[in-house]
Amino acid sequence: MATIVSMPKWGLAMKTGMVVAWLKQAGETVQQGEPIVEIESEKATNEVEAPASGIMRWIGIQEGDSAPVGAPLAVIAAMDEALTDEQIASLLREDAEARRQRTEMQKKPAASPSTARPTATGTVRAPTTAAGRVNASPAARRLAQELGVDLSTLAGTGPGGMIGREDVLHAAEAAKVAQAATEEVEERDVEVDGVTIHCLIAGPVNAPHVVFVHGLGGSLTTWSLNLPAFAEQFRICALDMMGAGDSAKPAADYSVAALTTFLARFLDTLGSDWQRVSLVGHSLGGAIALSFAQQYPRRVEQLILVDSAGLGPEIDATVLDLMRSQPTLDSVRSELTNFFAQPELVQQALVEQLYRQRAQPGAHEALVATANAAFGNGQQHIDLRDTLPGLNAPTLFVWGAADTIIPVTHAQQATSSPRSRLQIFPNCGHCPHIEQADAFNQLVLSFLRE
Amino acid sequence: MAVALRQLTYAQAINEALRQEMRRDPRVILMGEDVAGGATVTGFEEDDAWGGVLGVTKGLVQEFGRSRVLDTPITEAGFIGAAVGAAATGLRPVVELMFVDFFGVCWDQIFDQGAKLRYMFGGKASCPLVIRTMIGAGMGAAGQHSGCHYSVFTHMPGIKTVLPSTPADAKGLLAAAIRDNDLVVVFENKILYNTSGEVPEGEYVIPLGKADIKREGNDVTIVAISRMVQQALAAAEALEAAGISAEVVDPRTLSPLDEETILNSVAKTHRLIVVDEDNPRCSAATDIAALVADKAFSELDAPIKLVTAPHTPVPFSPPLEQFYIPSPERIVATVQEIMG
Repeated sequence: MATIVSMPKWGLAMKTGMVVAWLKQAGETVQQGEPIVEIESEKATNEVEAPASGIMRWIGIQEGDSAPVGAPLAVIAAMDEALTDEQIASLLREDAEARRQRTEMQKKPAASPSTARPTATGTVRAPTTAAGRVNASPAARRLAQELGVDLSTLAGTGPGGMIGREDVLHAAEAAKVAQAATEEVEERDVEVDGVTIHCLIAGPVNAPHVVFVHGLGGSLTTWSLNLPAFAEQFRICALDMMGAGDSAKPAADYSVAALTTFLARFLDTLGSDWQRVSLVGHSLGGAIALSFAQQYPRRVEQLILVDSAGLGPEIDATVLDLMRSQPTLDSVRSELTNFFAQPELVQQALVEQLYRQRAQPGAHEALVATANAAFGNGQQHIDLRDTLPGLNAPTLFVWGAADTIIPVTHAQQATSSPRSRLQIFPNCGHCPHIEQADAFNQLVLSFLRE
Repeated sequence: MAVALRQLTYAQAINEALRQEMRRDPRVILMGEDVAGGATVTGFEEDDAWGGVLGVTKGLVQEFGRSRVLDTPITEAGFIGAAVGAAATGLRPVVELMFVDFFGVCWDQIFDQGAKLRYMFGGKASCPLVIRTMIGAGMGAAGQHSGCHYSVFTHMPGIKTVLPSTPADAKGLLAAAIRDNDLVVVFENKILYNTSGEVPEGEYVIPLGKADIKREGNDVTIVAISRMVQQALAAAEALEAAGISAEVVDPRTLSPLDEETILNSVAKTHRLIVVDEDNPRCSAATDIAALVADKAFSELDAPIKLVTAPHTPVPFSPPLEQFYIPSPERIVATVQEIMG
């Protein structure tokens, strides 16, 4: 069985990628999991691992060339497989056709309430027998297994309310449409009290809502490696806070208290479905999330604090000084280096991108204002430790053991909160959601599903 | 080559099959009560033969003579036993058991002799015998002349059971039965005798064990036996008006049973109704339902439903007798029940 290696999608916004270098050449043997090609996206450079073992049989994109997400990069033939050029061509044709169909599907508008059958909403409970077994026909059961449909979420329209094949087919169709909606990523500018806030919204509309709040000097792109995984199961919103990223940078109060109130106003503006959310906050964003949970306890479902500020006095002065200085490519690079246990993760593309953001008019002033409001003289001005004992929302504390900016010792505050859990990532700096993205996603997703 | 067709009744089609087979093979003889008629009655031997109680074999004695069309006494055990012996010793008798309800008196000759000869003699003996018999309610013939009972015969190994539902099938299946080297019972529904249909002229043989899809459809499979095929076709017509597409499968022979055609149809429609005029316990209907539950369970999108006679003898009262026979209306209602 030949396997196609496709251009990966590393962020919700990633549309194309460039082949930096092939680590394996045509004719070479590869093992599953072995890095075979280095790809650069707008935000990161990373290696792609071989999805299967075999022989590199065909390479379609040369070094320095770009290709859209999903495009075939290479074909790996099985060890004992004699693959002709014609077979490869037909394999690629099939792949192209499959991608074309997926795209068509995604372009379909989500089913409107009037056309969607009640079986498709996912909120109706299935008819069950007295013993609690779902009432579904044998054919429906087999089809549900083949199509990955959960029978317990369907309503039956067969004899006596039995779930039949038609019900399963309709549900599978609806799921496809919902999936297409999931993959529809919306970047939006929202007016909040006259301030333009840039945000990214994705994921199934009916799913629980999760909001991501970045830290000082960051933007919503800090969550690039996380958002795609979360958007599969949750309705997500990541925003550039006032004064950061592509949001407006007015001369305003940038204190944690002011940013907390502003976050509430922002969510009000998004709509009533954002009244109650789970919050994921990183660093200063963690402090904002925690402060939000204190002020609006009924609006927070669950709380995830990542290397959060507000839980102790210490903070590294070097990074704050670098942020306060006029930004240059070098200062941004030095600053970023402090965020990771493995500094080689800092790619030139990331440095350049952050630099461009910092160089925007008003960006530096807003950053300094935010930093000064929260931190000074190597100390945190904000102390939210008192709020922890009264916290109702289940809270997950995440910390990198090698965090040099806010020390991991602050994580011990987790024990003050009644419904909390703590996870420390070894050999990891201030950004576990980037440095250990997969493990972070898995951890937080399972916490959110509880 | 185009096959010439013309309209014949079911009874005429049977008569034609017998005549053609008797012309083709001198070993084929007819036996039974009044199959010629008038034997030993002075003045009736030549002209006014009965040709069976309902005239199905009329005219055959005139062509083939009384040495090949034999009137028998009213002793089923005797003449069916004689037919088994004749078959085992070189003839190919077609013997008539007037009403199937009489099988009790000759059952030993059928199931313990004729059906087992090949097996008991290690393949050195055979019994190329055809028993023609009438089945079915609807003529006011009461409980002892109206039963179906083919499920009893189908239960016994060594007996082939044939149930034509149309004139053409009657001709083709009877010809195949006569050419078969084992005991074959052909069940003729007496209500069908006067129904007409297109029948091929000349030699026409339908292999035993091949079901026939009498009407194609997508939503539900109706397996119907003998006269019930006609009831199912009427039901399918009514269902089509209601937007339901029914497929009518006629097994034509219950032993051997064409499992493949039934299973393929259910794999297409995902729903099964079996319509059977026989009594419902241990019946052809339950057998086909069990077949599908066993071999195509995961194809089913609704419970299997049976539309059968009740577990009683056939009533004499005409309204009760009509109620006893599965009707197109009952079939329609049952299909609608499982369509949800």
